[in-house]
Amino acid sequence: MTSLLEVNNISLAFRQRTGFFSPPQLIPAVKSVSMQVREGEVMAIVGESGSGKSTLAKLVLRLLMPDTGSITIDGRPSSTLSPRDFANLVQPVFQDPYSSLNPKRTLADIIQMPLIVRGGVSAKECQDRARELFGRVGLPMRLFHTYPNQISGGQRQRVAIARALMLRPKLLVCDEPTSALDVSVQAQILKLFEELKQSFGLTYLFISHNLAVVERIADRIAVMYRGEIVEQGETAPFFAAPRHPYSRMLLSSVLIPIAGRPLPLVSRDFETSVSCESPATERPIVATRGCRP
Amino acid sequence: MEEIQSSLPAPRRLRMRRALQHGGFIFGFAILFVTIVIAIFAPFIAPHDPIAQNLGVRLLPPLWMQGGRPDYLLGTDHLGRDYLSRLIYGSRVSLIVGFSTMLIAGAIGSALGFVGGYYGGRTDDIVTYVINCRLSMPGLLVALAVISLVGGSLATIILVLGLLFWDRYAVVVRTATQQVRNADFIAAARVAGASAPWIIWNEIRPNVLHHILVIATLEMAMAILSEASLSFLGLGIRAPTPSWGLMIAEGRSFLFAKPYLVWVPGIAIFLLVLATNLLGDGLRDLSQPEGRR
Ligand SMILES: Nc1ncnc2c1ncn2[C@@H]1O[C@H](COP(=O)(O)OP(=O)(O)OP(=O)(O)O)[C@@H](O)[C@H]1O
Ligand SMILES: [Mg+2]
Repeated sequence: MTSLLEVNNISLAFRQRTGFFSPPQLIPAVKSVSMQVREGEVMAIVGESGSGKSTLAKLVLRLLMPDTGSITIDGRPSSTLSPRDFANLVQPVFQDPYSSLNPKRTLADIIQMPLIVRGGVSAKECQDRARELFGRVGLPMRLFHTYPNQISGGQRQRVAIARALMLRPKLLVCDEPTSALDVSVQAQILKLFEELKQSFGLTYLFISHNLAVVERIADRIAVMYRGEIVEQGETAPFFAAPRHPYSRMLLSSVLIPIAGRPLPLVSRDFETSVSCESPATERPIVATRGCRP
Repeated sequence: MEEIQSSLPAPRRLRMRRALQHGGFIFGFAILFVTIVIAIFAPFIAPHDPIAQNLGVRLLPPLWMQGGRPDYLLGTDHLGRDYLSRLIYGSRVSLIVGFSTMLIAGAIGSALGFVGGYYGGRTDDIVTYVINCRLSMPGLLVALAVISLVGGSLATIILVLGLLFWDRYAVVVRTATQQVRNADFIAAARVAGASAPWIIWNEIRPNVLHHILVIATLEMAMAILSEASLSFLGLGIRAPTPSWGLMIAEGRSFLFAKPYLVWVPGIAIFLLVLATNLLGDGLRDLSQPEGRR
């Protein structure tokens, strides 16, 4: 299987302007991250808040430009793709279903947006495709011409998914797509993601900090900690025996009770290694190398 | 949320219903509408030629006063011109100045606000600087100086007012744009390959439009008042064109003997400006999610 998405050593530091004359302060958000996502798989990224997951997603979506490193999509350097070609390959699903739909446009308009921007089809064709997707993501047709404030959070997320599928992309970048939803709705949306993956042959870069969700949907998993990927590998072995101390801490903090699986070992010494922030002492315990294919 | 979902009234109809319950909005809308109709159909409504002098009927009082005549409902001025006809034609000047200034200033201010608010960074610094420069000038004083230099006429008044009073549009549109800019639906449009102008026009403008409308009406009232003031000072509309400000200026010398020469156009200005302001306030109340409390 070939890699659909290859991220090579990308780094990004935010420049925070503190004053007009003082030099900008650098906040490293992503530090030399590398990973591959193979066609047809679900790659999950987990990590605590502020670990750089969303920043990584924005880098992949070209909403941010990396300071260093490169991203390859479908064998082509992402930065050389035209906006049109890029949109045909990669589409986003965001976390907040309220912020992700324009409150002043109807659901029909929202879903059609990517195809209207791309052009090349008649208005009728565009609307037909939107209608088809509307039903495909499980929305009742009577809502087609309503506004986002008339539907629920789960329905909004379905609209966002339909919009992302409008251009028939290969890769969906989902930044915590279920974490703003009720648990029961979460399950429905996850099921939808699984179904759509089958019928559209999708690949997901799936960000979440809900490990139960990740265990259910992901083929592989990457753990981010302070801007770096500290461990990545297949899901099942990861849950059985996480290698990196931070992963163990992450797992132990959620405790998913599954029959036959022992509780993961928590190393106390990890917390001490966190507190001394020197990269020199952190580096040796990073276990990514051994997990890469 | 659930109730809304079951009945699903179209938001447009909801908005209509709320508008019809808003007294100030109705009053302002009605007066402005009547004034517009009067201005458009002035030649059919006005009983006399507004600039035809008839020295035989100089300084006739209005109908309800001693010596009033039914063919001169509001009396005549010092040159024997029918006051009602001058009032009717004078509405044209007020409305043309009001609307044209609104369009010019609205276009300049909104464009600056959109660009500064959307792009941010250096571009926004420049926009903010331009706005600050404008704000540090005393607007009406500059208008006075420029018009006394180039000479007053309808066109110069509109141009000068339009080129000066865009600051409120710029400030408000910039802030409103900044609030929308970071929404995820903007990110979705960017990933879809939409250009900045497309995003501003299709995604941001609908969210900012109600702010622009509110300011437009308030600024229109300001422009109407400014034209009246300039004409009153002899710097605006040239005689014999009827303008309400000019009518007050010409009636001033008869203030004690014939006060109606001043208060009739005075009330006209007052009502139109009041109506426009009420309309603006009403629009602001109605554009708020829950309306006025
Ligand atoms: N626009 C920005 N300007 C400055 N710093 C930023 C910006 N966006 C993110 N950061 C910083 O970058 C780091 C990573 O943020 P990011 O949003 O990627 O985290 P995250 O893993 O997505 O967290 P969460 O789980 O809370 O969504 C954080 O320290 C954050 O404060
Ligand atoms: Mg995030």
